[in-house]
Amino acid sequence: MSQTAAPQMNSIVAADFGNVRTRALIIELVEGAYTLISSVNEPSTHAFPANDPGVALLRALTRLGDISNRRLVGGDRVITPEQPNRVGADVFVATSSVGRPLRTVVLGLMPDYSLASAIRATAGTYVSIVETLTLEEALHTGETINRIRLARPDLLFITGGIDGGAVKPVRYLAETAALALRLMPPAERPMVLYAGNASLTGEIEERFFELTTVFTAPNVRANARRETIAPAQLQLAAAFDSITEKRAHGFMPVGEQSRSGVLPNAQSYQLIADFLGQSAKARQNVMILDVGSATSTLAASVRGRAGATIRTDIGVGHSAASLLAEVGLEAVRAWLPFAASDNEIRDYAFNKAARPAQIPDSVRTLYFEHALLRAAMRLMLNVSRPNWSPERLPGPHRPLPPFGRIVGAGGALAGTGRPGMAAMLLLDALQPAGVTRLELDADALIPALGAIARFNPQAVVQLLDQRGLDLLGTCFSLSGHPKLDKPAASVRIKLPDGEIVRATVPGGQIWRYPLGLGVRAQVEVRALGRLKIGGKSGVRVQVVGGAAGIIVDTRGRPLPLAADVQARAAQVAAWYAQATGDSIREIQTEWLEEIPAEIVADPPADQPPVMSKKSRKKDKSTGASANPTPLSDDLLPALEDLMAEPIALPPPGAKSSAAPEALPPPRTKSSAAPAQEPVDDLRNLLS
Amino acid sequence: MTSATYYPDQRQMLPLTLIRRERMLPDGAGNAHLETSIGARVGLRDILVKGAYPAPVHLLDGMELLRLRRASDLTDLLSVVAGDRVEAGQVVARKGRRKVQSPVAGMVTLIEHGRILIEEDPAMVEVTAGVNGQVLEVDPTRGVVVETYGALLQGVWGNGKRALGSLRFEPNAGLDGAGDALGIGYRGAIIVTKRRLKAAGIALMESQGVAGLIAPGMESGLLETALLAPGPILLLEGFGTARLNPSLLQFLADLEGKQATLDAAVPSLTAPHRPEVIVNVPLPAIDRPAPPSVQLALQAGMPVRVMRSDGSSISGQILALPEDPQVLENGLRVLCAQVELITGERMPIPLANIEVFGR
Repeated sequence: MSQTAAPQMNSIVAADFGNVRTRALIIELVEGAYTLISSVNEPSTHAFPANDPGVALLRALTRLGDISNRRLVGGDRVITPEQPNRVGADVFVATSSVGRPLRTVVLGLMPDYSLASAIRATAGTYVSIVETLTLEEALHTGETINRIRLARPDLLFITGGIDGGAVKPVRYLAETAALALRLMPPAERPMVLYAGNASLTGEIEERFFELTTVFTAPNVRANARRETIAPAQLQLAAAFDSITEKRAHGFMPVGEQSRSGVLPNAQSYQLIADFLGQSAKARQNVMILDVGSATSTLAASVRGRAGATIRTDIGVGHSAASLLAEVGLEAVRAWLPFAASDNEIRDYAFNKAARPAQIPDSVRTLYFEHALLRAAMRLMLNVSRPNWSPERLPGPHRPLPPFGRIVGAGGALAGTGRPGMAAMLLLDALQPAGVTRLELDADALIPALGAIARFNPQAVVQLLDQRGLDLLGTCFSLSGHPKLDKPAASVRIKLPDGEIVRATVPGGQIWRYPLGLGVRAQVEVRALGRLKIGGKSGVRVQVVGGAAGIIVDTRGRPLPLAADVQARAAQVAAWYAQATGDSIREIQTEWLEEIPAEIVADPPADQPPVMSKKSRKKDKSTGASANPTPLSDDLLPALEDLMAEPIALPPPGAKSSAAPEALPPPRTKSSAAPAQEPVDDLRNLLS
Repeated sequence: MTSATYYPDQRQMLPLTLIRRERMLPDGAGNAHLETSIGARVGLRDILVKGAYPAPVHLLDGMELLRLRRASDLTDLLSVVAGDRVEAGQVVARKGRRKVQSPVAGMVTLIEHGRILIEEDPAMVEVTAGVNGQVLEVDPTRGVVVETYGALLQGVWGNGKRALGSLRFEPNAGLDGAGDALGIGYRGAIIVTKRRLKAAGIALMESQGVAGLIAPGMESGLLETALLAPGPILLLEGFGTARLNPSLLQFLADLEGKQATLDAAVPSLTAPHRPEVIVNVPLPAIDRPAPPSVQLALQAGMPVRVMRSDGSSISGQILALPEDPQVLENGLRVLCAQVELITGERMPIPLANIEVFGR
């Protein structure tokens, strides 16, 4: 791994290795600001038949060079630093989510202190905790040794004790761990990361030095009240890099060329979510959700607290079968606008696991794909929420905090080629309320930014500021239970040329206005009747047009997904049509025929009961059920801290000032140098 | 990714090619002991590497059991040294009437600080060649790479087992209709069925001594049954499907009667190869085949296999590679190739759904 500082950083090339796609992008310094120039993606090649990730990297960089008129590859290596005549780039960075996670045994003294902090530190890296051991368990030494050895770990994460505290218990843990390692063949010994009582760091390094690779970091719990996990996270990333190179030999040359080795891309998601959450004018909640083929990551910054959840068994490709096992058949079937047997759902998931890159080729299989995707997103949301406010009881029944910004990533979401469809999928699964900026990271910019932030935070700030992410649009989501086809919201859009667009949006719809990409407009949305938008009766905000324009979601929260398959057929097909602007793709009548009961699984105990047919009242126009199956009990709390830009409106009927609202200052375009403050924020996050 | 330089996934179907395969200890096994060396010729059933899964250790505290003051006092009382094999109940140290006995049969792995560590006999694992070939590379800690020549056909799913046998097509009545009437000629054979695999077909492996099964698909509900089957099962198309691509059918028909290795590897993120069937074929003295090329970009005129979401596939030929994304009937807008299917139909196919047979 090269650590030489480039004298000048005019160009940065980044590559992100996914289990299905390898994506590369180039960033250049243009008129004083870092700018995303172009990006490409290629099928990944770390697996059969090439068994070499470098093959896809070279293909991607060759293509990237063609597009950007810059030669990036010489022989089989990335040319660094930049040479005259647009040859090479100053820096190359690599991130990855490839392969199986680090099997990790965590050792600590107390489960609620050092061990808990160590486990939190593993967020951000692809870690699978296969065993936890604490002194509190009072295990016999032999049993501790066996639990370490039989877990077959890649990494031992040893922590415990407060700085300046007693050393004996931690020393005993380390001695026992060292003994376990000595009983293993040298080639099979796990690496060791120590982040415990600082006074033992030197001794631990010495103890393990001849046995295995040792990483050390400051104590994750230097005292009872202070948790410091960032340095340990960096060392975990280094361990991930090391094991990635060791396991997949092809990653070694990639890591050697990269400025910071091959970093886990999940760490970037957490870092950037934290930065976005803190850098908004008024602190806003931010969510970044990447549902990949094999792994999924949800990083969020909620009320200033950032965290990430990684699931290496959740995805819509390689992990489709384990996703289905986790969520259950009914969680997928709930999104299907037709009857499907258990076997058909399972077959689809297993075929996806066998051919992860495959794209649905029919209307029916598109619904299976998106049902799996929504189930994956909802699962990630539900498992992440306890991390956002650990002081409260975990579970899906707490109100979902308002999110001012949601960024989606992953091939299934970012690869539809239809911005409206991608926006609808995010809205369906996450069900944000209020005003939300929806974005996609189709180019793997966030993984790159996380790696770049370590040595050039200025570039990160500029790239995020110049809208390096793909803006889908701003969505206004109504809470409550809108009546179908009765007015639910009135919309007023003031375009840059002064033209005013007015619309009344009925309930149960995804309404879109095609505001051009980058075009600014003032949007005023009033919720009618007893409905609310962000806890208020209306909002007025300045928005920028995205690929999906402006979206007003009047379907209500929780989303009233029909329990009856016939009603759902009309409802879901209509939503797709509204979101994409396509005509409705009617669900074939024969698809609605009941599946014999014996091949439909019993709903699991935690699923909401399905209403009997007699109790349903269908609306013929949309097919929505009057007794929908709520997907969750997510309710919107008072939204005083909703976001920086929305301005509270007086209730309908009240007088409003004729004077124009003061607009927030326009965001800086790529050519303008950004303020220093966000860079400092990012440095603080990294320190 | 562009359609102009797209490298499709390869699921190889090659009548004669150079095949290099890792023969490594499975994940979790260690203590590798190589039974071969670079350049050695190996046969189908040769054991190439032996290893063991880690077994529990028993820590005997000699100081406490023998009531010693100093750890060093144990040395003179020991009747074993590290590396010795011990039986259950065997005395490993004694002081007067006090003694330390091994609780298990195993090996003394370490003696230090007054403690004796004995590891139970581990579960052993052996890795066989599975092909007739030559050892190309060795990794002393994990295994070897073997090189061979032969016909190769890869599938989409396997149940993690491997077997050798001659390739035979199912009786006309199919596997389900055969029951006990499956003839003696099928015993020890790898049977190819053109129909979707059912529980009755899997049961024949045990009742009729069938070595392995190759099928287009099976319902995912049979997964547990398939994983517990005594021999390998290879699915060539996918789950749920009952159709076998005619190109694959013809390929297998040409190999009927030949000795084959059915390596039904479970597909995984870390698997070095796909589930496959390999048939060693006699080599010409000259013109030995090259390994399959990984640099195989789509081109107009190229024969391809179009994968469908229902798990089936259909053969076709590339007509054109449009630069711009195409809108599919389901609304997705993705990069496609214009393909003429063997049915004569011409349609845009997402690049991601196109596989090639290799070259």
